[in-house]
Amino acid sequence: MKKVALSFILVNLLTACASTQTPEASQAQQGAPATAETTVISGQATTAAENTASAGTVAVNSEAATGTQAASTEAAQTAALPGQTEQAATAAATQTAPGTTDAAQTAATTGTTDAAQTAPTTGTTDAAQTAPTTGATANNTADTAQSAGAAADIAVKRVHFEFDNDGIQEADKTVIQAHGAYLSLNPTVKVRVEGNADERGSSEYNLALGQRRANNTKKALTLAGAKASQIQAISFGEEKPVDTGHDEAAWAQNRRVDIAY
Amino acid sequence: MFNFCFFLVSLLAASPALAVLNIEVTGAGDRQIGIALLPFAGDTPLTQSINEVVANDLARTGLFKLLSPSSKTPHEVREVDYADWLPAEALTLGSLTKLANGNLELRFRLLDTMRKTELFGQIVSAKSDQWRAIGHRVADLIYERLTGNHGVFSTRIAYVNRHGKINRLVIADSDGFGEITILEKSQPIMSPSWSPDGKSLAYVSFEQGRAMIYTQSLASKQRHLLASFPGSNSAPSWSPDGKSLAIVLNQDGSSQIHLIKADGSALQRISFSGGIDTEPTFSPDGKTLLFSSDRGGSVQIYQMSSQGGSAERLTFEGSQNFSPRFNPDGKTFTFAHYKNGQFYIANQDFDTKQIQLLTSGGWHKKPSFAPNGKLVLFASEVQGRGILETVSSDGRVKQRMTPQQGDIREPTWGPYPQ
Repeated sequence: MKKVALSFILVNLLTACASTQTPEASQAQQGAPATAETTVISGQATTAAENTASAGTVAVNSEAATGTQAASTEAAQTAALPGQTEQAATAAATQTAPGTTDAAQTAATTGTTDAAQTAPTTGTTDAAQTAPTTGATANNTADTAQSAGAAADIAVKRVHFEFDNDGIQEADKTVIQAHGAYLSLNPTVKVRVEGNADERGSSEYNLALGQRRANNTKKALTLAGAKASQIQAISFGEEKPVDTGHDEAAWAQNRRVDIAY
Repeated sequence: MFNFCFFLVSLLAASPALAVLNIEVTGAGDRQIGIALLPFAGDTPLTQSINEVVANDLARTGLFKLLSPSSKTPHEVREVDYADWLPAEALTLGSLTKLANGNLELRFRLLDTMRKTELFGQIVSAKSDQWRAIGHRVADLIYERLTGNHGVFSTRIAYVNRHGKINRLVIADSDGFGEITILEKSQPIMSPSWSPDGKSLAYVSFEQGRAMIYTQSLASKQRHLLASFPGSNSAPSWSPDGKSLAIVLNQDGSSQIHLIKADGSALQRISFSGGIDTEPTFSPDGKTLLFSSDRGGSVQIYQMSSQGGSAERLTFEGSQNFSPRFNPDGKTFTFAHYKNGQFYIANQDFDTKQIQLLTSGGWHKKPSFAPNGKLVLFASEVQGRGILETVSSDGRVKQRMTPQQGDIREPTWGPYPQ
């Protein structure tokens, strides 16, 4: 119960800097096919995203949407594509900050550039994680700018966890924000959040723990703008380590949720 | 807690030509029965191999000391001079013949060297490729006659062998030889569980992208998707009557224990905690379940009625305790015990609540009792590779079985053959 409560607080913290989604926006997105429990492989999801972009239809009601989600459809589409270049992402970040001050825009842009160069200090080996952690770098700017920066940041598709804990860590909140915003802007996109655990404990407990991490990540993404029906939360437990070592460095890498489009 | 007297028991025979496992025995019981396993007459490499199966099986229990006080090789009782074989208390001899239909037939006798009498004689036969089964049967007969306990050498075990990206669900003889692949997948396989009649396995497979529970007949290999509810479907465990299974689902949020009929009907949730409740396992009488849960903070072992209701916490020592399994006598349970960064196999008495560590620590997980309650099989690790180990239920004797290929995970000891 303690852990659940803690993670709930963390989720609330995330929400605080998340752009809120109005009921109208939710309704506007109800038109997307609901296939909550369908297994979505990444290839399909990518195709869906591309279709959305090329057709020029993003199912966000611009009147109803608020905050950064009121970003122009053009910017949203540009920002949306997974696997897009950093330059494009940066451009999108700048565009998706309507109504912010010049200073904030500059901060966001600068932050992105800096982050692209300095991000690998997290010590992780995953290529995806060397992508810019824009929001974190530009954290002294206005919330809007921060969210805008984060929207460009879905190249990072992994969040990490403390031992035997399922709470989203402070350092990962921008990643969650980015994916939540992306999913909100692309309501036809489906995603799998895959919980994983290190090898300590029993394989069954770790499967349950990975599921709890995935469920919490799903909840956080939902609070950051995604619809629950876009996200499938599953667990691989200790079965799919990214590092097969038997030390804390390896375990830290393996305690993760992968966000798989 | 117990006296660890480590020493190598020397095995009789040389290493077999086609071994896929290396077997190593350490430790010994206080009171060991000295026994001489004489070479059987017949096809020499084969008789030697059968004798080796018998020797390994008996050594694994820690109850026997394998002796070869004489180099004589009598094959008939009338050729035996009992004085040659002291201090061995028992002696086996016999002969192996190949029948016209291709089957092997071993005629063997067990002699008491003290009383200078024959204890019994028996004919054991099998198809020629089942020569290991002959060895296990002989070991069972010797063990049963000399200890009074039911032998378990002819039983089978199940485990997952992971080699690269290939995951195989395997059944094997109780000593890890004679692997038969039941299922081969590129996605993980977890938690095999034997049906009480030994004819089916339930297990978790990720082949459809997430954890779902299947049951599979070992004879026909026919599979049945038992549970594919949203989220993870895991930790299957058969009830002793074989009619239902305890499983773990998280469709309501946290992972909780449910009952389901073996045909997939009558799903019923029976645990209601805010935490993780998993690894349910039925008592031999089917009335209660042991399971692991973090409802109290750390992962510990609890017991509740198999109808559900309130649960009692059973473990308090160490930082975590999990993966419980009942002793078939219902009086104790074994589990994995975690403290100071090491995993141990432990055993706890239900009445006295005394905990005994059966292993000296390492990466020891997933214990399960042999159906006679005298040995515990568990997953261990050597140089980063998963292996099988057994330990006698008094903790005195360990046997390590190292596969030549792959990484062994999730072992579980099957029931007596029916």
